[in-house]
Amino acid sequence: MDPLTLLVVVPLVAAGVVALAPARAEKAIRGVAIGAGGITLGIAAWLFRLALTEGSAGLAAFSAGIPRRAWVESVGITWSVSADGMTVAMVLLNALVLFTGCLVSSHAIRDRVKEFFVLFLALGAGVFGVFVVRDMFFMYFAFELAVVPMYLLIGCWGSPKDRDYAAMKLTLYLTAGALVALVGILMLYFRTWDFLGHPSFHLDDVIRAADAGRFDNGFQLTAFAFLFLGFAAIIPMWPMHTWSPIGHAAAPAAGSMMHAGVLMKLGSYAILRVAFPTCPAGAAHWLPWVAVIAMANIVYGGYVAMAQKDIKYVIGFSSSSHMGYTLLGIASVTVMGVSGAVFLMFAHGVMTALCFGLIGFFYDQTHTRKIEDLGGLAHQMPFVGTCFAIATMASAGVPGFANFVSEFMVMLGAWEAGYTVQAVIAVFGVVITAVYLLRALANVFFRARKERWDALADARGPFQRAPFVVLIGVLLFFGFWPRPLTRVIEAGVEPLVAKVQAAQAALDVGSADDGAHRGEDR
Amino acid sequence: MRDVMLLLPEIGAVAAVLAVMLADLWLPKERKGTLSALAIAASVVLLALTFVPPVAQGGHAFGGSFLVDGMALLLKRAFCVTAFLVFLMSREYVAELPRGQGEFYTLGLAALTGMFLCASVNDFMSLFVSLELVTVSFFVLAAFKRDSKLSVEAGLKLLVIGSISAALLLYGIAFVYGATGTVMFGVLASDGSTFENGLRTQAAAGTLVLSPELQLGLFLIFLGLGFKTSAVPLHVWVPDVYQGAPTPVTAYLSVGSKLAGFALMFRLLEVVSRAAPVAAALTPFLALVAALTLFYGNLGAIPQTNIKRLLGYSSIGQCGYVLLGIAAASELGLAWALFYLCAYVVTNLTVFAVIIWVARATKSHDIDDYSGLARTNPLLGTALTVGLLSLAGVPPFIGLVGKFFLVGSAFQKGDTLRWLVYVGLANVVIALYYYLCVVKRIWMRDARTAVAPAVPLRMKVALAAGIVALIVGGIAPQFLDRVTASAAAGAGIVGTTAR
Repeated sequence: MDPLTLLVVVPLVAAGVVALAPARAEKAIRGVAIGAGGITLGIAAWLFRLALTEGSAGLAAFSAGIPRRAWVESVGITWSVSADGMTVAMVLLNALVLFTGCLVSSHAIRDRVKEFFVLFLALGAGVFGVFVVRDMFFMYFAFELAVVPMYLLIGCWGSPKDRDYAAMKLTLYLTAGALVALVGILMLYFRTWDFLGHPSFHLDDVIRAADAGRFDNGFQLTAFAFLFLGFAAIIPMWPMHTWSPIGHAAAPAAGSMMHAGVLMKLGSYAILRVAFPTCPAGAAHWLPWVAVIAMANIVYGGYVAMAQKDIKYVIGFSSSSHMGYTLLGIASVTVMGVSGAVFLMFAHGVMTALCFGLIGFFYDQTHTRKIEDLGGLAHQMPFVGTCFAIATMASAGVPGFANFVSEFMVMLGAWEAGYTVQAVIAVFGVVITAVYLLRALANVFFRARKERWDALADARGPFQRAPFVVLIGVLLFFGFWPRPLTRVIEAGVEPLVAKVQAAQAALDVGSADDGAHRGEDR
Repeated sequence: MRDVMLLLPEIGAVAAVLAVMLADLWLPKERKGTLSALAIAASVVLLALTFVPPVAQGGHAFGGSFLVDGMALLLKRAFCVTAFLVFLMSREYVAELPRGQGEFYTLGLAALTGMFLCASVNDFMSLFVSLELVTVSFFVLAAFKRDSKLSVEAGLKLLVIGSISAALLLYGIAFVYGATGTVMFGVLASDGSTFENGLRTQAAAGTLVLSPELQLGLFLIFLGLGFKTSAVPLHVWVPDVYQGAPTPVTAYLSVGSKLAGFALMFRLLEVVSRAAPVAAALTPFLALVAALTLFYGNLGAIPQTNIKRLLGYSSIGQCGYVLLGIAAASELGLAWALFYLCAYVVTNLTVFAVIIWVARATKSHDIDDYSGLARTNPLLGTALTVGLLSLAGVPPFIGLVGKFFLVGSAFQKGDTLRWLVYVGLANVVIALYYYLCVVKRIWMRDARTAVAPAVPLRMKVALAAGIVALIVGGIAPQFLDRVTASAAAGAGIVGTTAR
C-alpha cells in the first residue's frame, strides 16, 4: 500500500481496533491512538523530506508511481491519491494536530475514552482523505466523514452549556455547504462524462476536459460559484461564519484543535484543488469579489473578537478573522499570495491548535472560560502561561513565527495583484488582532494572583508538555526558516495560479475588445 | 414444464404458507416456537431456490405474463432477505402474543408470495392480483393486536386507503386497456407499436401525441402504486399505521411492501421508456410527486416524538429519493434506485431490530426513552446510530452512495429536472436534522430509566452483521453496485442520455 493511502488507512484501522477493544482497556486505547497519530506524523515527515530533497518533480514522479485503483466502475469512481506541495503542507499540518490532539486528549478525556478515540481517529482519516485523494467522489465522501464525527465529539465531550446547539449548527452548516459544492462537482462530472464518453470523477480527467475547452465561460462561472460558495462556508467566509466560533467554543480541547486547526482549511484547500484548475475563468471572474469579502472577515471578525468575554470565542472569531487573509491570498491569484495563503493555513492551524490545547488545559480545571473570572493564571501555571503568550505573539504576527511570514506573503501578493486598498486594510487588521489577543492574554494570565485558582496544576512532565512544545517548535522553526516549506508550497501552487492568470488575461483581452468595439461604435 | 420450473420460488412460498398453517394445527401450544424456526428456514430455502438453474437462467412463462429477469431475481432475493431478517428479529415478540402465532407467520409468508409475484408480473391483471395479495396480508397483520386500539386503527386505515388505491389502480388499468387494447406489458413495450393505438398521430406535424386516456391511465396507475411506496398523495396512512401496527409488521411493511410497490414501478418504467412521448409526459408528474414526497416526509418527521412515527415520515422521505431515480427514468436512475432499495432493506431492518428490542425493555416508543442508549446498551445504541446515519446519507455508511447517485441521475436529465436536484439536496440537510435529534438522545442524554435492554446472542450477531454490512457497503459499494447495475442494464431502460 502506498504511503498516501496509508495516511487514510492507518487512522481508520486504529479506529476499528479501538472500537473492538474492551472499553475498560483505556491505557491500550490511548496507546493505539497515539501510536496511529505517530505513524501518520512519520509518514508526513517522510513526505516532507521527499518534497525537500527531490522537489516538485520528485513528488510528481512519486504520485505517478501510485496506480489508480478502479473502485465503482459503473460510475467511474477510482481510488487514486497524489501529492503536490500543497498536499505535503496540509498533510503535515493534519498529522501534527492529530498527534498532539491524541496526546492532549489522553489526559483530558476521562469519560467514554473508547468512543472518543474512535470518532477522533475517524475525523483524522476523513481530513487526510480530503487532502490526498484525486477523485471528486472520494473528496466529498472524506469531507463528510470529517464533519459527522465532529457532531458527536462536540455533543458528548463539549462544554455542557452550548454544545447541543453548537454541534447541530456546525453539522448542518457544513453539510449544507458540502451539498452546494456537490452541485458544482456534479456539473463537472457530467460534462466530463460527455467529453470522455465514460464516467469519471478523477480530477485529472476533469482537468483534461477543461483544457480541451469543454467548459465554456458561462458554465465555469456557475460551477465556480457553486464550488466556491459551498466550500467557503467551511473556510468560514463572512457571512457564513457563524457556526465556527460557537463550534470552537463548545468543542472539547482536541475537538477545537482539529476543527480550527485543520477542518476549516478543508474549504480553502478544496477550492484551490478543485475549483482553480477546472474553472479558471470562473475564478478570474469571481475572485475580485472575494477580495472584498475577505476584508469583512478580517475587520468584522477582528472587531467581534474584541467584544468577546469568553476566551474561546476570542480565539474563535480570531480564526475567522485570520481566514480573511487566506481568502485575500487566494483572491490575489499570484504565486506569492496563494502560497502565502497556503502557508498561512499551515501556520494558523498549528498556532490555533496550540491555543485551543492550552485553553482546554486550564478550562478542564477552572470550568470557566470567562475572561473576567480568570486572571493571574501565570502565577499558578507558568508553563501554560508562557506557551499561551508565545501562541498569542505568533497569532498577532510577531516576526519569528511562521504566521508573520505567511501573512506578510499574503500582503505582498495582494499588493502585487493590485489590491492595494485591501493590503492596507490587512495591515490594519494585524493591529486589531494584536489588541484583542494581547488584552486577552493580559486579562487571563497576568495581573494579580487570584487565590481561587491556587489549586490549579501546571502542565507537568514530558507527556503533558510535549504537545505544546512540539507545536511551538514547528511555529518557530518555520518562522525563522520558512524557505523549505514555502518552496514546496510554491511548486504546488504555481501551475494552479498560472491557469487562472491565463484565464484572467483572456478575460481582460475580452473586455478590452468589448471596450474597443464600443469605442468604434461611438 | 419449463414454465412451472420458472415459478419454483413462488411454488415454494405457497408450500411454505401451507406448511406453517398445517404445523400450527398440529403443534401443541408450548411448542409453537417451532413455527418461527420453520418460517426462518423457509425464507432461507426460498432464497436458495432463486439460485436453482432454471430460475436463475430466467425467461418468460405463461404466454409472457410472467417474467424472470435479472431485476426480478435481484428483487426476489431482497424479499427473501427481508423476510428472513423480519422473522429473525420478531421471534420473541411473536412468542409473547396472546394468540395467532401461526397466523403471523402464515400471513408473513403469504405476503412474501405476493412480493415474489410483484417482481415477476408482466401484465396488468397479474399486477393487480399480486399487489392485492401483499396488501390484504398486511391489512390483517397491521391489526394483529386485536385488543390494542392503535393496532386496529392501523389495520382499518390501511384497508381504507388501500381500497382507494386499488380503485385508482384498476381505473387506470381500464383506461390503458381502453386506449391500447391490451393488458400485456410485453406487447405494450415492443417499440411502442401497441402504444400507437393510444398515441394519436398528428397528421400535420407527423409527430406522435399521447392520447388523454392513455396518459390519464398511466397517471392513475402510478398514483395507485404510490400507495405501496408511500408516495404523495396516498402516503397519508403511513405514520398512523407505522405507529399502530406491531413493530415487526411495521418493519416488514416499511421494507417489503415498499419494495414490492417499487418493483412494479420499475417494471412499468421500463415499459413506458420505450415510447418517448409517454415517458416525456410522465417525467414532470413523477418529478412533482418526488418533490412533494421528499418535503412531506422530511418536514413531517421533525416534530415527532414517537420513534415509529418518525420512521414512518422518514420512510416517506426515503421513498422520495427513490422517486428521483424513477423520475429520471434512466439506466443510472434505475440502477441506483435498486441499489438504494437493497441498502434500505438492511438499513431500515437494523433500525427496526433495535426498536423491537429496546421496546421490550422500556415498553415505550417515545424517542426520549432512547436517551442514554449508548451507555445502557452500546451495541443497540451503535446499531441505531449507524442505521439512522445511513438513512441520513452520511459516510462511511451505505446510504450516502445511493443518495449521491439518485440525485446525480436527476442531475443528468439536465435543466428540466435541475430544480428537483436542489429539492433533493435541501432535503438531505432537513433529514440530517431529525436523524441527529435521535442520535443526540442516544449519545448525549442520560438514561431515563434503569432498565438496560438485553438482547440474545442471535440478535447480537445480527446487529453486528448489520453494522458491518452498512459500513463495508458504504466504503466498498462496488460489490452491490455490480449486481444492481447489471440488473438495471438487463431491464433495459431506453433513452439513457436524453440530454
